[in-house]
Amino acid sequence: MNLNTKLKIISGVVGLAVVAGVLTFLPNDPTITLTNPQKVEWIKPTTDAGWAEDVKAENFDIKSTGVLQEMRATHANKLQRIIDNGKEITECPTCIKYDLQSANPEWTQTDVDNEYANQLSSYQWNVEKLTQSVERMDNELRLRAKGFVVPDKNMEGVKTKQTDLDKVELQFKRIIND
Amino acid sequence: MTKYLISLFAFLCFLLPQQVGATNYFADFGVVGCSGAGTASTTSFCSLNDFTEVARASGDQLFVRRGTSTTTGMNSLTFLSDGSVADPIVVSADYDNIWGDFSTSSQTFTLAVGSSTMTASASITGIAAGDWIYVAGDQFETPLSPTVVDKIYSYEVKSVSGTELTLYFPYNGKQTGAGNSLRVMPDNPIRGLITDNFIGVQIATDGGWMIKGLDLRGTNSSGVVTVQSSGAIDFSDMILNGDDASVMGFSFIGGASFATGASISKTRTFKVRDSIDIGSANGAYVTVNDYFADCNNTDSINVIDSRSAGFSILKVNNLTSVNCPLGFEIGPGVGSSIGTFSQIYSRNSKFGGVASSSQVLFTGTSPGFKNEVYIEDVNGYIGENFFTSGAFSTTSDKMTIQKTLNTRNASTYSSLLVRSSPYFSNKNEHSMLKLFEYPIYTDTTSKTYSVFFSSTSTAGWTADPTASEMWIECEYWAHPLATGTTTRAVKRSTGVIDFNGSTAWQSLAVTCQPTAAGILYLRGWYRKPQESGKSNWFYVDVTPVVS
Repeated sequence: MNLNTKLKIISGVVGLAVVAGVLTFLPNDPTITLTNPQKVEWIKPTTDAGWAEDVKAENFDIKSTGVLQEMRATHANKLQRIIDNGKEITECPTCIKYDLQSANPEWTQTDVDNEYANQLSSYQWNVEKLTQSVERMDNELRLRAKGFVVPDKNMEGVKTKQTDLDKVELQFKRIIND
Repeated sequence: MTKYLISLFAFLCFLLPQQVGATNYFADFGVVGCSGAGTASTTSFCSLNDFTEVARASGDQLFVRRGTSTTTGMNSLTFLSDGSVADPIVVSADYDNIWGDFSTSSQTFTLAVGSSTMTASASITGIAAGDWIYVAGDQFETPLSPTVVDKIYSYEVKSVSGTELTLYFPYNGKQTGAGNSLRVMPDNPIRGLITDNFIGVQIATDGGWMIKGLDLRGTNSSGVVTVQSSGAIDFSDMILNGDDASVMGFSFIGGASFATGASISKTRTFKVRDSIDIGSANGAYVTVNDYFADCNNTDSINVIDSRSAGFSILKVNNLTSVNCPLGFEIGPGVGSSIGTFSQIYSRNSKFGGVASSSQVLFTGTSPGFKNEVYIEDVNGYIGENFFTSGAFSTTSDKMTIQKTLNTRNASTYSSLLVRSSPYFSNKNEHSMLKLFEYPIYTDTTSKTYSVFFSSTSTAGWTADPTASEMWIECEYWAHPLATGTTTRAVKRSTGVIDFNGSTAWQSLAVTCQPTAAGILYLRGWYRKPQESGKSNWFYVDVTPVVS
């Protein structure tokens, strides 16, 4: 597998209905050189075992199922809110720049352009990162529902039967810490 | 057996239950390798990014080891998730001695509430400027279950000399007198260098975060901390360091769809251009309690910049500034149109180093609608109160109303000095000046309310203000039809004051008789446009006479 295949910079989302329209709005990469442009770099898993390991990057494995469901809802809502309210950033750069210049009359055009680029980069990162997080939560919940991974207790602290945990490989047991 | 149970109970008390659904994480900037999972102090994250830039649940907390710093590989710290008003996501320095870094003072201290100095029983050892202390008994450490709850009595040490320890802020804890031990905590954890061109904390469309006890440094012109379109953001025990030239401290920005709401407490800034900038595109509400700004005598630095293109309210209590050329700057901004709404409410602000003519600076060539500053007890003087508004003045430090010692009689503590303005008008409510408003509980008897006025000089007037240009009024319960349907009426005085003929104290009076007991509001209004070549200044006795 070559490097281009391994490294996938996420600029859109496949399979999540809530963000179906995001591909339409994401522009090309900014032409202004930023100091620290943030991008989401992710090797998306293709197997259940891969997902079971991948979600640990955001500590979803230690969250009880109820909390994870709440997190999924709040983050999905935030993602949609950011997309809805970020249309001006992608569809009307001149509007954003006009507002920036008005609020900061002492700024040069370069300052305005750089700040717009920063806002655009921030918008893109938020969309990409939230999309990734929601997809990871969806997969962790899916794996729990099918029994591929088993949490050792629920949000109320009720422990899973030891006999049920014994049936699960150690790497697929979730030690809840919330 | 009994002793065992008591000991067990005492031990269990320290295992305070966490908020359900919340997880504690740990960061140690001194960790090498950055491979920790962050769920224990022994497997700490090495950066704040590891916590803020992945999805977190409401109530999740990150505790950062004190006395550590991270200065390489920096970028603007961004935030992914939202907490809630009741259960924010927390990034906090260690207040619970999680890593065993704290110590107890070798000396005991004499202290007093309201004082910034503590006197030791002997020459102070083991405590240096930059350390944080709290007085034993004010708060408690729970290293196995760390929390930010009730961790409000910690103070940064400003200096140590002999037996004297000086804090940046007055002590406001629960202990007094002599014999007090101090718990000594290392410096706030440091993120960044003052030469780093990034935003230390960049919160945008992220609600419900608490940031506590960090030392942030940077030189990005947007600010060391920027908060945009985000509500329920809380900062406390913070230190912001800039580069003395271009960077702002806290920059609050509203957005196209969301306003910004934030609070700052027990925080100081050093060498930042505008310590707090509330310039807002579309709305910001910020409260500040206990704030220390050192501007390092750099030109054109404001303590507070409230120029606004939209709507902003800033409430400031107990602000101290040193070496700052300017105080508050308000106004629509050069080139901006009328239509701004920026209000500052300040209590107990001390402007050290501010030129006397620049305590309040107006910017802009047109009067700003509702750009107002209300200042109480300024510069350490009780009763030194001011009001000014960009609607009535564009001249820096031309206070529309201020306290004066020119009183009507010995029983009156102070009066108001009112300066006129060419922007007063008798055409609409926006160009009227409210002189005072008093709520008075009354019964249903008829009473006459009198307020006394005096011109500063008869030569300061061509024509006296008419009854429609200056009056007092009472608003009261009137004409009850039935229980629950009572209405209120407003009755104005009809008299005039002879300002151009006498400087004696003269009164306006209005008689009101409510039909129901309750609150009556007594108000005074003025709206005579300033006469050409005349000052039109006058005094108001703040004590109404009721007969």
